[in-house]
Amino acid sequence: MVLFTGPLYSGKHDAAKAYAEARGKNLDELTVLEDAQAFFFEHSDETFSQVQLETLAEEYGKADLVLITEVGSGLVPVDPKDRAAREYAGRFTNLLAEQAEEVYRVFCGIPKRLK
Amino acid sequence: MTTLVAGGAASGKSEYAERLAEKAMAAAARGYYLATMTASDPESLSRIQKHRDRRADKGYETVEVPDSGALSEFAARLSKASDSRDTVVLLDDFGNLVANELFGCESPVAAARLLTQKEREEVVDRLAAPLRLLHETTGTLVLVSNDVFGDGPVKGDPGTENYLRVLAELNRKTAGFADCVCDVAAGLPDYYKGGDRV
Repeated sequence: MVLFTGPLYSGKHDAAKAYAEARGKNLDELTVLEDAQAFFFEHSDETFSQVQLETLAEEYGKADLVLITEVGSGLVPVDPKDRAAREYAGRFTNLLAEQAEEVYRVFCGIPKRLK
Repeated sequence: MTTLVAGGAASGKSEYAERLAEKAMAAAARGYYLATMTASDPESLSRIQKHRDRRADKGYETVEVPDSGALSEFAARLSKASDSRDTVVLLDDFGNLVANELFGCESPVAAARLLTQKEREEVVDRLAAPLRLLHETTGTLVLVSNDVFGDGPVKGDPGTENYLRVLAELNRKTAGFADCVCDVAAGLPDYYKGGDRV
Protein backbone atom coordinates (compact mmCIF):
# COMPACT_ATOMS: atom_id res chain seq x y z
CA MET A 1 0.00 0.00 0.00
CA VAL A 2 1.11 3.55 -0.78
CA LEU A 3 -0.08 6.34 1.51
CA PHE A 4 -0.72 9.94 0.47
CA THR A 5 -1.21 12.47 3.23
CA GLY A 6 -1.09 16.26 3.40
CA PRO A 7 -3.24 19.28 4.29
CA LEU A 8 -6.83 19.74 3.16
CA TYR A 9 -7.21 20.32 -0.63
CA SER A 10 -3.45 19.99 -1.12
CA GLY A 11 -3.83 17.81 -4.24
CA LYS A 12 -3.56 14.28 -2.81
CA HIS A 13 -5.93 12.79 -5.39
CA ASP A 14 -4.06 14.28 -8.35
CA ALA A 15 -0.75 13.13 -6.87
CA ALA A 16 -2.11 9.58 -6.46
CA LYS A 17 -3.36 9.65 -10.05
CA ALA A 18 0.04 10.81 -11.33
CA TYR A 19 1.74 8.13 -9.20
CA ALA A 20 -0.43 5.40 -10.75
CA GLU A 21 -0.04 6.71 -14.30
CA ALA A 22 3.74 6.92 -13.95
CA ARG A 23 3.57 3.16 -13.29
CA GLY A 24 1.38 2.49 -16.33
CA LYS A 25 -1.79 2.07 -14.28
CA ASN A 26 -5.17 3.71 -14.31
CA LEU A 27 -6.66 4.74 -10.94
CA ASP A 28 -9.80 2.76 -11.85
CA GLU A 29 -7.78 -0.47 -11.97
CA LEU A 30 -6.47 0.08 -8.43
CA THR A 31 -8.09 -0.10 -5.02
CA VAL A 32 -8.04 3.51 -3.84
CA LEU A 33 -9.40 4.56 -0.45
CA GLU A 34 -9.94 8.32 -0.34
CA ASP A 35 -10.72 10.58 2.64
CA ALA A 36 -9.69 7.94 5.19
CA GLN A 37 -10.04 10.53 7.98
CA ALA A 38 -13.76 10.99 7.15
CA PHE A 39 -14.49 7.47 8.51
CA PHE A 40 -13.79 8.64 12.05
CA PHE A 41 -15.91 11.78 11.74
CA GLU A 42 -18.75 9.69 10.31
CA HIS A 43 -18.42 7.21 13.20
CA SER A 44 -17.94 9.85 15.90
CA ASP A 45 -20.41 8.06 18.22
CA GLU A 46 -18.02 5.13 18.50
CA THR A 47 -14.85 4.61 20.46
CA PHE A 48 -11.97 2.66 18.95
CA SER A 49 -9.44 0.63 20.90
CA GLN A 50 -5.83 0.42 19.75
CA VAL A 51 -6.50 -3.16 18.62
CA GLN A 52 -9.49 -2.02 16.58
CA LEU A 53 -7.43 0.73 14.96
CA GLU A 54 -4.68 -1.74 14.14
CA THR A 55 -7.19 -4.18 12.62
CA LEU A 56 -8.70 -1.37 10.57
CA ALA A 57 -5.24 -0.26 9.42
CA GLU A 58 -4.53 -3.83 8.30
CA GLU A 59 -7.74 -3.76 6.25
CA TYR A 60 -6.78 -0.45 4.65
CA GLY A 61 -3.31 -1.87 4.12
CA LYS A 62 -4.75 -4.28 1.55
CA ALA A 63 -5.64 -1.37 -0.73
CA ASP A 64 -3.19 -0.14 -3.37
CA LEU A 65 -3.46 3.54 -2.46
CA VAL A 66 -4.83 5.27 0.65
CA LEU A 67 -5.41 9.04 0.93
CA ILE A 68 -5.80 10.70 4.31
CA THR A 69 -6.09 14.41 5.12
CA GLU A 70 -3.97 15.86 7.93
CA VAL A 71 -6.40 17.18 10.54
CA GLY A 72 -4.23 17.54 13.63
CA SER A 73 -2.56 20.94 13.36
CA GLY A 74 -5.52 23.22 14.00
CA LEU A 75 -7.09 24.24 17.29
CA VAL A 76 -8.39 21.49 19.55
CA PRO A 77 -12.08 21.07 18.60
CA VAL A 78 -14.58 22.18 21.27
CA ASP A 79 -16.92 19.29 20.45
CA PRO A 80 -15.75 16.12 22.29
CA LYS A 81 -16.78 13.88 19.38
CA ASP A 82 -14.81 15.95 16.87
CA ARG A 83 -11.89 15.92 19.30
CA ALA A 84 -11.97 12.14 19.51
CA ALA A 85 -12.41 11.74 15.73
CA ARG A 86 -9.39 13.96 15.10
CA GLU A 87 -7.32 11.96 17.59
CA TYR A 88 -8.31 8.65 15.96
CA ALA A 89 -7.59 10.02 12.48
CA GLY A 90 -4.08 11.05 13.56
CA ARG A 91 -3.29 7.77 15.30
CA PHE A 92 -4.69 5.89 12.34
CA THR A 93 -2.43 7.82 9.95
CA ASN A 94 0.58 6.64 11.97
CA LEU A 95 -0.60 3.03 11.78
CA LEU A 96 -1.22 3.35 8.03
CA ALA A 97 2.27 4.79 7.54
CA GLU A 98 3.72 1.76 9.35
CA GLN A 99 1.83 -0.54 6.97
CA ALA A 100 2.75 1.44 3.85
CA GLU A 101 5.65 0.62 1.58
CA GLU A 102 5.81 4.26 0.56
CA VAL A 103 4.45 7.44 2.20
CA TYR A 104 4.09 10.80 0.45
CA ARG A 105 3.12 14.17 1.90
CA VAL A 106 1.47 16.41 -0.71
CA PHE A 107 1.91 20.17 -0.24
CA CYS A 108 0.57 22.74 -2.74
CA GLY A 109 0.08 19.88 -5.20
CA ILE A 110 3.66 18.60 -4.89
CA PRO A 111 4.32 15.16 -3.38
CA LYS A 112 7.39 14.61 -1.22
CA ARG A 113 8.41 11.10 -0.22
CA LEU A 114 8.66 10.64 3.56
CA LYS A 115 9.10 6.86 3.49
CA MET B 1 13.00 32.71 -10.92
CA THR B 2 9.78 32.33 -8.96
CA THR B 3 9.54 31.00 -5.40
CA LEU B 4 6.31 30.20 -3.57
CA VAL B 5 6.87 30.52 0.19
CA ALA B 6 4.04 29.00 2.25
CA GLY B 7 3.69 28.52 5.97
CA GLY B 8 1.46 28.84 9.02
CA ALA B 9 0.76 32.01 11.00
CA ALA B 10 3.92 33.56 12.47
CA SER B 11 6.02 30.75 10.96
CA GLY B 12 8.58 33.25 9.70
CA LYS B 13 7.42 32.92 6.08
CA SER B 14 7.45 36.70 5.44
CA GLU B 15 10.94 37.10 6.92
CA TYR B 16 12.25 34.18 4.86
CA ALA B 17 10.61 35.57 1.70
CA GLU B 18 12.17 38.96 2.44
CA ARG B 19 15.60 37.31 2.78
CA LEU B 20 15.15 35.68 -0.65
CA ALA B 21 14.09 39.01 -2.16
CA GLU B 22 16.92 40.96 -0.53
CA LYS B 23 19.51 38.51 -1.79
CA ALA B 24 18.21 39.13 -5.32
CA MET B 25 17.92 42.89 -4.73
CA ALA B 26 21.68 43.19 -4.34
CA ALA B 27 22.08 42.64 -8.08
CA ALA B 28 18.77 44.08 -9.33
CA ALA B 29 17.80 47.51 -10.64
CA ARG B 30 14.66 47.83 -8.53
CA GLY B 31 12.37 46.06 -6.10
CA TYR B 32 8.63 46.20 -5.59
CA TYR B 33 6.79 45.13 -2.49
CA LEU B 34 3.19 44.21 -3.30
CA ALA B 35 1.07 44.79 -0.19
CA THR B 36 -2.31 43.07 -0.05
CA MET B 37 -3.92 44.02 3.25
CA THR B 38 -6.76 46.53 3.39
CA ALA B 39 -7.14 47.68 6.97
CA SER B 40 -8.63 50.27 9.25
CA ASP B 41 -8.66 48.44 12.61
CA PRO B 42 -5.78 49.00 15.09
CA GLU B 43 -4.58 45.36 15.10
CA SER B 44 -4.22 45.21 11.30
CA LEU B 45 -2.65 48.68 11.15
CA SER B 46 -0.07 47.67 13.76
CA ARG B 47 0.67 44.49 11.76
CA ILE B 48 1.15 46.57 8.61
CA GLN B 49 3.46 48.96 10.50
CA LYS B 50 5.56 46.01 11.71
CA HIS B 51 6.06 44.83 8.13
CA ARG B 52 6.77 48.42 6.97
CA ASP B 53 9.43 48.94 9.65
CA ARG B 54 11.12 45.71 8.63
CA ARG B 55 11.23 46.89 5.01
CA ALA B 56 12.50 50.41 5.78
CA ASP B 57 15.79 51.20 3.99
CA LYS B 58 15.61 48.00 1.95
CA GLY B 59 14.92 49.96 -1.24
CA TYR B 60 11.50 48.57 -2.08
CA GLU B 61 8.79 50.61 -3.70
CA THR B 62 5.51 49.58 -2.05
CA VAL B 63 2.50 49.06 -4.30
CA GLU B 64 -0.96 48.32 -2.90
CA VAL B 65 -2.54 45.35 -4.70
CA PRO B 66 -5.54 44.34 -2.59
CA ASP B 67 -7.35 42.51 -5.40
CA SER B 68 -7.06 41.00 -8.89
CA GLY B 69 -7.78 44.36 -10.60
CA ALA B 70 -4.84 46.14 -8.98
CA LEU B 71 -2.63 43.07 -9.38
CA SER B 72 -3.43 42.76 -13.11
CA GLU B 73 -2.74 46.46 -13.61
CA PHE B 74 0.66 46.18 -11.90
CA ALA B 75 1.61 43.01 -13.80
CA ALA B 76 0.65 44.55 -17.16
CA ARG B 77 2.65 47.70 -16.40
CA LEU B 78 5.74 45.84 -15.21
CA SER B 79 5.69 43.37 -18.10
CA LYS B 80 6.03 46.35 -20.50
CA ALA B 81 8.91 47.93 -18.57
CA SER B 82 12.29 47.55 -20.26
CA ASP B 83 14.00 46.49 -17.03
CA SER B 84 11.40 43.95 -15.82
CA ARG B 85 14.01 41.15 -16.02
CA ASP B 86 16.17 43.20 -13.70
CA THR B 87 13.39 43.61 -11.14
CA VAL B 88 12.54 41.88 -7.85
CA VAL B 89 8.87 41.54 -6.87
CA LEU B 90 7.77 40.33 -3.44
CA LEU B 91 4.05 39.73 -2.84
CA ASP B 92 2.76 39.14 0.70
CA ASP B 93 0.29 37.35 0.83
CA PHE B 94 -2.26 35.12 -0.97
CA GLY B 95 -4.46 34.84 2.14
CA ASN B 96 -5.37 38.55 2.00
CA LEU B 97 -5.73 38.58 -1.79
CA VAL B 98 -8.20 35.70 -1.73
CA ALA B 99 -10.16 37.19 1.20
CA ASN B 100 -10.45 40.56 -0.56
CA GLU B 101 -11.37 38.91 -3.86
CA LEU B 102 -14.10 36.77 -2.28
CA PHE B 103 -15.47 39.03 0.43
CA GLY B 104 -14.29 42.55 -0.51
CA CYS B 105 -17.62 43.80 -1.82
CA GLU B 106 -20.95 44.46 -0.14
CA SER B 107 -23.05 41.29 0.42
CA PRO B 108 -20.59 38.91 -1.29
CA VAL B 109 -21.99 35.74 -2.87
CA ALA B 110 -19.05 33.74 -1.49
CA ALA B 111 -20.25 34.37 2.07
CA ALA B 112 -23.80 33.20 1.37
CA ARG B 113 -23.44 29.89 -0.44
CA LEU B 114 -20.92 27.36 -1.73
CA LEU B 115 -19.46 28.49 -5.06
CA THR B 116 -19.59 26.05 -7.96
CA GLN B 117 -16.32 24.63 -9.22
CA LYS B 118 -16.61 26.89 -12.28
CA GLU B 119 -17.08 29.98 -10.11
CA ARG B 120 -14.08 28.99 -7.97
CA GLU B 121 -11.94 28.49 -11.07
CA GLU B 122 -12.90 31.96 -12.29
CA VAL B 123 -11.72 33.54 -9.03
CA VAL B 124 -8.50 31.51 -9.06
CA ASP B 125 -7.82 32.45 -12.70
CA ARG B 126 -8.38 36.16 -12.05
CA LEU B 127 -5.52 35.99 -9.52
CA ALA B 128 -3.36 33.32 -11.17
CA ALA B 129 -3.25 35.01 -14.59
CA PRO B 130 -1.43 38.20 -13.44
CA LEU B 131 0.81 36.07 -11.19
CA ARG B 132 1.78 33.97 -14.19
CA LEU B 133 2.48 37.13 -16.21
CA LEU B 134 4.76 38.33 -13.39
CA HIS B 135 6.43 34.90 -13.32
CA GLU B 136 7.13 35.15 -17.05
CA THR B 137 8.42 38.73 -17.07
CA THR B 138 10.03 39.45 -13.69
CA GLY B 139 13.62 38.57 -12.86
CA THR B 140 12.88 37.42 -9.31
CA LEU B 141 9.37 36.82 -8.03
CA VAL B 142 8.73 35.79 -4.41
CA LEU B 143 5.15 34.91 -3.45
CA VAL B 144 4.01 34.41 0.13
CA SER B 145 1.05 32.15 0.89
CA ASN B 146 -0.69 30.80 3.95
CA ASP B 147 -1.07 27.28 5.28
CA VAL B 148 -4.45 27.57 7.00
CA PHE B 149 -5.61 24.02 6.36
CA GLY B 150 -4.64 22.41 9.66
CA ASP B 151 -8.18 22.06 10.98
CA GLY B 152 -9.13 19.81 8.10
CA PRO B 153 -12.57 19.99 6.47
CA VAL B 154 -15.04 22.62 7.73
CA LYS B 155 -18.71 21.86 8.23
CA GLY B 156 -21.69 24.11 7.54
CA ASP B 157 -19.88 27.37 6.79
CA PRO B 158 -19.90 28.07 3.02
CA GLY B 159 -17.80 31.26 3.32
CA THR B 160 -14.94 29.45 5.06
CA GLU B 161 -15.11 26.47 2.75
CA ASN B 162 -15.04 28.73 -0.35
CA TYR B 163 -12.04 30.55 1.11
CA LEU B 164 -10.11 27.36 1.88
CA ARG B 165 -10.84 25.82 -1.52
CA VAL B 166 -9.91 28.94 -3.53
CA LEU B 167 -6.72 29.53 -1.53
CA ALA B 168 -5.71 25.86 -1.91
CA GLU B 169 -6.39 25.94 -5.67
CA LEU B 170 -4.38 29.16 -6.04
CA ASN B 171 -1.53 27.56 -4.07
CA ARG B 172 -1.53 24.46 -6.29
CA LYS B 173 -1.77 26.44 -9.52
CA THR B 174 1.05 28.79 -8.52
CA ALA B 175 3.18 25.90 -7.25
CA GLY B 176 2.71 24.32 -10.69
CA PHE B 177 4.58 27.08 -12.52
CA ALA B 178 6.88 28.26 -9.71
CA ASP B 179 10.53 27.17 -9.90
CA CYS B 180 10.75 26.64 -6.13
CA VAL B 181 8.13 25.83 -3.49
CA CYS B 182 8.77 25.64 0.24
CA ASP B 183 6.89 25.17 3.49
CA VAL B 184 8.33 27.39 6.25
CA ALA B 185 8.31 26.33 9.91
CA ALA B 186 10.30 27.98 12.69
CA GLY B 187 11.66 30.39 10.08
CA LEU B 188 13.24 27.52 8.14
CA PRO B 189 12.25 26.42 4.63
CA ASP B 190 11.40 22.81 3.72
CA TYR B 191 11.55 22.61 -0.08
CA TYR B 192 9.03 20.59 -2.09
CA LYS B 193 10.33 21.87 -5.42
CA GLY B 194 13.63 23.46 -6.42
CA GLY B 195 15.57 24.90 -3.52
CA ASP B 196 17.31 28.25 -3.54
CA ARG B 197 18.18 28.08 0.13
CA VAL B 198 19.37 31.21 1.91
